[in-house]
Amino acid sequence: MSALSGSELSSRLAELLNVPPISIELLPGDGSEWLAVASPDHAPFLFTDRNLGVPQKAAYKAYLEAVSRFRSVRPRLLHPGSPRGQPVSDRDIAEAAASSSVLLLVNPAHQSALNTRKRLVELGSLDAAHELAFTGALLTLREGAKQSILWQHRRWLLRRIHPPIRPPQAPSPSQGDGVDSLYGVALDAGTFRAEFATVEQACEVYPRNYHAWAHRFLCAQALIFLLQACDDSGDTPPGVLLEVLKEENARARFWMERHVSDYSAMQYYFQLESFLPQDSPLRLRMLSTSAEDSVQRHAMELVRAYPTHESLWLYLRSSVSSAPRTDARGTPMSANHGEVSALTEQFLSSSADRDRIARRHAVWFVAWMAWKDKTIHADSSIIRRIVSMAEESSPLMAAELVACLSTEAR
Amino acid sequence: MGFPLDVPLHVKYIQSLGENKDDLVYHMTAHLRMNAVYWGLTALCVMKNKDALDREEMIDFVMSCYDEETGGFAPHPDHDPHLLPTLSAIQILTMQDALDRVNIPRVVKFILSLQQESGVFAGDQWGEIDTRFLYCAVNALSLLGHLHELDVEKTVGYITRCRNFDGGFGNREGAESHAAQVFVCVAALAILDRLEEVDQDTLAWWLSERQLPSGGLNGRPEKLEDVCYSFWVLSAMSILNKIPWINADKLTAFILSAQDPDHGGIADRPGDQPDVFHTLFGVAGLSLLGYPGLDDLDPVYCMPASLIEAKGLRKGWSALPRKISV
Repeated sequence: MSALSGSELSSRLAELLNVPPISIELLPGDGSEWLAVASPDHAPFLFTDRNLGVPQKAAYKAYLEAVSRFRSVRPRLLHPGSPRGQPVSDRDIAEAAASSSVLLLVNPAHQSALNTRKRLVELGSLDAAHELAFTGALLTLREGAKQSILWQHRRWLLRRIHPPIRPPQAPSPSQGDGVDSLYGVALDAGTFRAEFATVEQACEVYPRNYHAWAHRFLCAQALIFLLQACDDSGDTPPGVLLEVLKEENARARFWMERHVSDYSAMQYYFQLESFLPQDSPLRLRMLSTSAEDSVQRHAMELVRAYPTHESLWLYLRSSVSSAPRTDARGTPMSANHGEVSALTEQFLSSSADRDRIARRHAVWFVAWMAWKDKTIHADSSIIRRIVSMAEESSPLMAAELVACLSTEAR
Repeated sequence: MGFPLDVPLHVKYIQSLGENKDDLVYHMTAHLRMNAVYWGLTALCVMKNKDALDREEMIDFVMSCYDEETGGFAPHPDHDPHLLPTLSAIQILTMQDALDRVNIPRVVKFILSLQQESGVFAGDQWGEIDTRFLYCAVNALSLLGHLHELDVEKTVGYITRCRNFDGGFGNREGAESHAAQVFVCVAALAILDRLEEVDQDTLAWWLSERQLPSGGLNGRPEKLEDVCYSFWVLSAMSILNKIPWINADKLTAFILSAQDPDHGGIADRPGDQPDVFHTLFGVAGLSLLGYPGLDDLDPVYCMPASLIEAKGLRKGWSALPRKISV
């Protein structure tokens, strides 16, 4: 079946990668069970509706071939057209594009291959929008989804495809954190939606995906910057961008509620909410949340429903820390704190086996609140006591717990 | 489940890496080879077996990765230069006492050229930024004796912007707190003598919560325990002089249980495949916990403590006292 040489495999694979596919999957072994029922047009690869299936055996053979092809062509791209370097031929360009694509499929962390592709984009030999689609395909791979370099590659491409917003609204160079952001880039609604969708898919494929969430944050930051820039200059923010923000807020919340172990999601949602204080013009225009729907209330509902999840208790901590102590009229909002206390007492006082984990989280929560309020201080013996009390199963009241942590070490 | 640290077995494991140069695995990891050599060498140093790998061969490899044009080091010949392998290269040459092979001003120029307006560092000319690269720059400049050329205010200013409400640090401003990023930010501040920028108690609390009932440490809430966090978390605690906030016995037992008794090496958790990355961070963690028979490790530089001290770079960290026996 694998009568094809490494060279033929590598070339064929590169052709398919250049379409580019919408999704890619590495199939175990030689993929023969799939090939038995699929079309033989692209054998040993599968390619249906732009979904590419690559048997691992073929992938590895193609990879080894691509390593030597890439090694030969890479130096010629380092100084294209300069008197020092050799002139770059069309064949070199094709070789570089083909070999680098195969390398990245099997090894999405291969930075030098990705750098070469940036050089090809700069030369005009690879189209930036096409490259963005190819990157999207790599991000459907589990190994690809977690690579920071691929997310950075997307931002690099987006900055080439979309123009910067015009001064005086353009951000200064010290704003944001350097070249690698989307600050001040005039992205449109469709692009924002595509980025958020790409992130979500990558988080399905690789849960708690650190770099995907970081990318999502950068997109949200860019979106809000664009909206605020319009605001500041007295223009009405484009309705369609406001719609995108509203959707994103709702989608982030929806995702959180379906992924209750996903602290990255909660942190992101909390940041999104923080970008938009209750009285901000943007939030008012979004016509979304009211006091009823506050982050703290949301956190309490979730903890009540899924009390064994540490992430939700941490979300509750953030919401309580940032909750206003008084409402807009200056009335103390102690009612909310009372509800939080009732919730924690419920779990602390349970000795049921099924509540053990919830009880542990409640102990840490109460201890943390007491520490934040400066009722207790923190040192190694206090931490040891918290750990030991969290592992016990006897019922407890919050006041007892705090008293125990406040006494001097014996 | 666990057994005492089998140093000879792990030394053999490290020696065996890189033997099969035609293996697919060898080619698939070329993009991190320089880092891998640094991990292997440092692990051997901690296990007092530095000479188990050939010194000349190693130095030749490092120098074959030097990029004359940029002044940086690549992870492997025929790969592009980057700050990550550049730091590893400098660390290896320092440990092998071969810094005289390096054109220090050129390397310094390469490193400094990567600092951005905001104070963060890019990894290379293509612009990806990350607090890891900031640490690489600060560490390398320090080892090369050129830290005075760095704009310290700008650098520290960026790190403080990465400080999150939970006391932790992310890979850039606004990013989630992550133990590995906490390490690089805290260690960079230690080198720059600016630890007062850390909210030490809040961070120590967050780091304490990384310890799970199994004794292992995770890197973020609700993630699995992983041996590499035995270093990232523990070294940050060591720099903050708060190792006693972690249960040392349970963590030691966890690391030991992740050893591979058949092939040597340490894995991310018990039962998984070992690799040189987790082997280093496992023994590094054990060293900081005072495990007998190991050499002292400097948690700021993740290099032998005696070497860092001899260079006058030791900071005010503390590790647990070394036990005489298991």
